[in-house]
Amino acid sequence: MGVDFGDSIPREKIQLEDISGWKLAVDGYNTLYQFLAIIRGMDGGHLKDSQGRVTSHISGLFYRNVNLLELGMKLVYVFDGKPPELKMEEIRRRSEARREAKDQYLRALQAGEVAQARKYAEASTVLRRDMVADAKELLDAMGIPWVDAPSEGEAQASVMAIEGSVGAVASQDHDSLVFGAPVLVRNVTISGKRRLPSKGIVINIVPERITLSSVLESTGLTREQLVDYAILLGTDFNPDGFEGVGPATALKYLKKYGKLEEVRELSKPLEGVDYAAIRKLYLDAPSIKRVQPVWKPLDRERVVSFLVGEHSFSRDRVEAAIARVQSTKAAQSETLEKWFG
Amino acid sequence: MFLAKSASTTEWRAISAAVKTLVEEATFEATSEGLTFRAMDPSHVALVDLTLPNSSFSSYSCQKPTKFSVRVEDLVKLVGRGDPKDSLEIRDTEEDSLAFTFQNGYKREFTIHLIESTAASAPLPKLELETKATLTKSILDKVLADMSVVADQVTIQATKDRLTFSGKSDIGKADVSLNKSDADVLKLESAADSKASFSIEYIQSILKALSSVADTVDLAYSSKKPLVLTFALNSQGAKLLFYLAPRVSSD
Repeated sequence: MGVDFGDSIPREKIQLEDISGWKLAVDGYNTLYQFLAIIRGMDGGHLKDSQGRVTSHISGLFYRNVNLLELGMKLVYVFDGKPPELKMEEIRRRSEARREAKDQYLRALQAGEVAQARKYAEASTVLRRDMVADAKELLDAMGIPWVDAPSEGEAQASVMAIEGSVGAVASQDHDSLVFGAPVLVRNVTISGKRRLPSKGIVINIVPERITLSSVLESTGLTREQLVDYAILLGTDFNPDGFEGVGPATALKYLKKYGKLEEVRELSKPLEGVDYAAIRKLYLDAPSIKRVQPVWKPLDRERVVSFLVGEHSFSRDRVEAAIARVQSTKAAQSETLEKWFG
Repeated sequence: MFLAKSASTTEWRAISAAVKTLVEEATFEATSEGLTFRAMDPSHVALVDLTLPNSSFSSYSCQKPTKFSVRVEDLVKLVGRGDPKDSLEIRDTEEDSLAFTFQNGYKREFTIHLIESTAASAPLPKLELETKATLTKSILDKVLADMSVVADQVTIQATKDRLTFSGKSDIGKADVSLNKSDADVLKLESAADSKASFSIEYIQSILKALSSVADTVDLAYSSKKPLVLTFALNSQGAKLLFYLAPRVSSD
């Protein structure tokens, strides 16, 4: 899923504290998927409220936001709009994989194989429309802005970073660099200990910062060539990439031939890949220009009524988390809206 | 056709510096009455409301209501090129641009392209404020500098004849008391005792931006309500109002 340049680009390990006070555009769906995948009980089932509604996503979103707000970060969540036609194959594959995982989850559960069940449960994660609505309601209550992108969320987030309304895009894959975002930070929303169910181990995930300028400098590619580089390795718009072409080979080809369509050695004919359309998507993606996110103070009553009142969260834990946010400097001022009448 | 001419560049230098404390893009609205600007900072803590009536220009004309959006940094740099003694004429040109002409003997003309701004105009807070005071700018500068030694917010308490500023933090505390009879207090009227706290940084940045035009500042506030600072930019009615939301009070 998404572009992965692997170790072929330079990255810098950072502490979350290093980017405290930064404005970050965060991929909304990606974040919610992570929480839905990770936050589960032992049998792989989700956290649920008293009425049986899933709350894993809002639990993850709330406590992670609290941690980041406490560090003075200003987040703006960007949600995907209508996917580009080119992405349909990738989307079909993802839902196919989810369906299969779901079947295997149920089989494992019946067979009493708990560890297996959990692994398949994570892979079968589906984000429903009402879950997104829950997340937006929580963000509103927390005073955190969100944007519905016209198409790809990563593209919208990158445009906001290019325009300077945020300092960086926070994401897991490398697409935002290809979309032109000057700075990408990874592992911001999931840093800390994380269990890898497929390997059955716990790893420590450390945030990292990648700048577009250092990527272009170290690879010696232009921004346009970086797009071709991504296409050679595989993107959401041509998920297979090219057989036998990894980072080293792709770089060699681009250095030798300049651009994708000139490369002679490709085993698969280029006709099957609409590279011109993919290039256009990365270099000129549909997006809303000049979004000015507005950060508001957290609305304590609204958060409590949503989490504790509606979704059976523990009042003590929620109140304690809110107190942590409200003791930060950014939360200490009223806003003028109160007097607009 | 829009044209606004000022005898000096002083006001525009102050205005652009003040706007820069809040926003990166600014939309000015022109009518036959004059030129106005209103915007909030992104966190919605502060608002600037600027009124430049046609009488505050040495010559002014505006045939139909128009909006001009500019990048504030460009505006600051541009008007910064004027000497205080230059006159400054601003007029619209055909191709979505504004022309700025400085003149003091010879002419210098700049043209900047207007930008498209999506920012909606901010409403004005509705306020009835009980304490009103006029202070010299120099004493306000001094008091805030005193407070900033220990705190990032200042608590202002007013009674009929006294204005008390205090700041407090882990470091320690600072208190300054001004009496109605002090030379730096030009006016003090308080219909009810008032107490509210405000960010020192916000007030200091607007004072700094307007330091060349304002010798005195009108200050109005009430308990737990915003602070309104009014600056006269010239003697012909040009004024800038600065609204600042109070800090959340713990008591």
